[in-house]
Amino acid sequence: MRPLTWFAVGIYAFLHVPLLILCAFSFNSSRFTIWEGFSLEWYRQMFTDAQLGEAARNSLLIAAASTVLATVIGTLCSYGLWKKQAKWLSGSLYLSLVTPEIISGISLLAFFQWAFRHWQFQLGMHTVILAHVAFSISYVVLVVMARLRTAEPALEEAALDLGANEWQAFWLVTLPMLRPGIMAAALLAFTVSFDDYVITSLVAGVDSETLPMVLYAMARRGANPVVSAISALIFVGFGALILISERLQKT
Amino acid sequence: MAIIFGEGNLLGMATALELKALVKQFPTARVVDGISLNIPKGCFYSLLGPSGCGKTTIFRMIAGFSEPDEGEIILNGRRLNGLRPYERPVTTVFQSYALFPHLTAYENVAFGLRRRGETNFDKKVRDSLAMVGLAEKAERFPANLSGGEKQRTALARALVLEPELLLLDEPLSALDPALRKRVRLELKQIQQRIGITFVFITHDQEEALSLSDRIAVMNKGKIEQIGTPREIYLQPATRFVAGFLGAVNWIGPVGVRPEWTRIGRTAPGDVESVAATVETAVFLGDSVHVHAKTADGAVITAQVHDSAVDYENGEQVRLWWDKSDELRVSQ
Repeated sequence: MRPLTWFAVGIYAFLHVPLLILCAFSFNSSRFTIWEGFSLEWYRQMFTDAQLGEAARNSLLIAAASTVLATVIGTLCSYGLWKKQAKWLSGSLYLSLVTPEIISGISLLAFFQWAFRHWQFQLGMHTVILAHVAFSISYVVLVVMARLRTAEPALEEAALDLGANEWQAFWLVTLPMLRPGIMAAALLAFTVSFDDYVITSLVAGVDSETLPMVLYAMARRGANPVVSAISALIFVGFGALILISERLQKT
Repeated sequence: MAIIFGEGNLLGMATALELKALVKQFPTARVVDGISLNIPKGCFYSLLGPSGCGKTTIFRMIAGFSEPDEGEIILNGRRLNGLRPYERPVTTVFQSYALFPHLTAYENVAFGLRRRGETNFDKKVRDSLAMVGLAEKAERFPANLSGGEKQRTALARALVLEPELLLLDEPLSALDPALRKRVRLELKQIQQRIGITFVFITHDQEEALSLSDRIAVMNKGKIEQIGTPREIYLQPATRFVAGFLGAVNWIGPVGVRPEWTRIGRTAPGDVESVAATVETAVFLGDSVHVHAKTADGAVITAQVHDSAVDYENGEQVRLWWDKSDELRVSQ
């Protein structure tokens, strides 16, 4: 093989071998990183652990709710920004993509604490969802805008010309045309929400521990094959989602 | 179908579209500067001019995508100002076709009929697609149609609504040259058959000349001349029109088109001729363009239709033409 091929193999190994080892050890019958034999024990433990089950439910609920909200708001945002050709406003939305997460988290926490003085509520599931909506919107805008940029501006005019009013032009022409982009944006929003640790840990309440938070706590107590099992499962699940999203982007 | 009597008179034709002193001001320029014109019913009418002359702005104001600052747009006696695009009995073939990518050719054509609340539109849609020769491709999506097929789908989609006026915004400019000529011919035949008034927006003088019953030549937001293709080509009113419609040799205030300019090593004894030196002779297959410089520095082009004719660079020649072929224009 030529040197460049070796280089490529090396890079791919560096990227993927840790994940493969993780997956392999999730099937190891030993608790330690020495292979002793195949076992599904850790998967059994994972499915019977009440704390993990609740965290997984919380994570899925938060991801689903914030995905729906962020996708609707983000799609309307990008449509408006595209219609008005608002360069500065689009730029400022992307600002939240480059803001360090810890800063976003602290600012959201400060905002919620300020809001608590005026309205009677506490940190919990709803604040996590709001925080996730806040940082997911810019991802949605990014993806939907990419689709809009390649769209023909005359399409809505053509719809108006053929007798559709503004609402029908949006609903019957623009939205269907954007559908692959919107689906891809929703998948992205779902993954960034499900994955988030830093912001979530800052704005979560006692009832809203998410899977990454529980995993983090477990992993800190030392190598744990149950953690490997959950990680492997999440990895496979999201790999499938990304493949679906790729397919959607192509159509 | 328009019946033309004599030079440029469309007698007995009622007016379809009337533009009255139309003005549109953009922040940097007055892009439409007091345009008035009458477009007869059933006419193939071209708005011809270079980019930035205001023709696209006029098209957008007729379609309803933009409102004039001053003036009126009247279609068959009804004032269109202030009506939304979907309230106007006008449809458009867009430069980019603007076919809906998520709908088949059939559904693209049915779109307008559905908006009108029609339910029994199948025959109309099929007839319309058949008229443009796309009956077989009704179930295809735009991505699977060729450029010419997209263009014809866009035409069928606009015509199926039987508009009082069809606007065509540079509809041929996205096609390759060979296809453009064929589609041009088809477009003219369809217009003659159905008799709907066509307003054709173009910067291509050959398209305008070959298709139109009438042409309005525009420049800098104003109309330079309105007339039949023959009138504006043979009797251009201004230097701009003469130059925009085709090549012109300017000898002082007099213009002569290259195809009417004769060239020879000697001139016939009884005609007035100009002495010149050949700069280049360009062979074009069906003709030869000879560029020659006169004593006062003007370069005159003569189009020689005999392809066998050839001139050496630097050769001394005589140029002449019929007085009746001279273009007399105002500035």
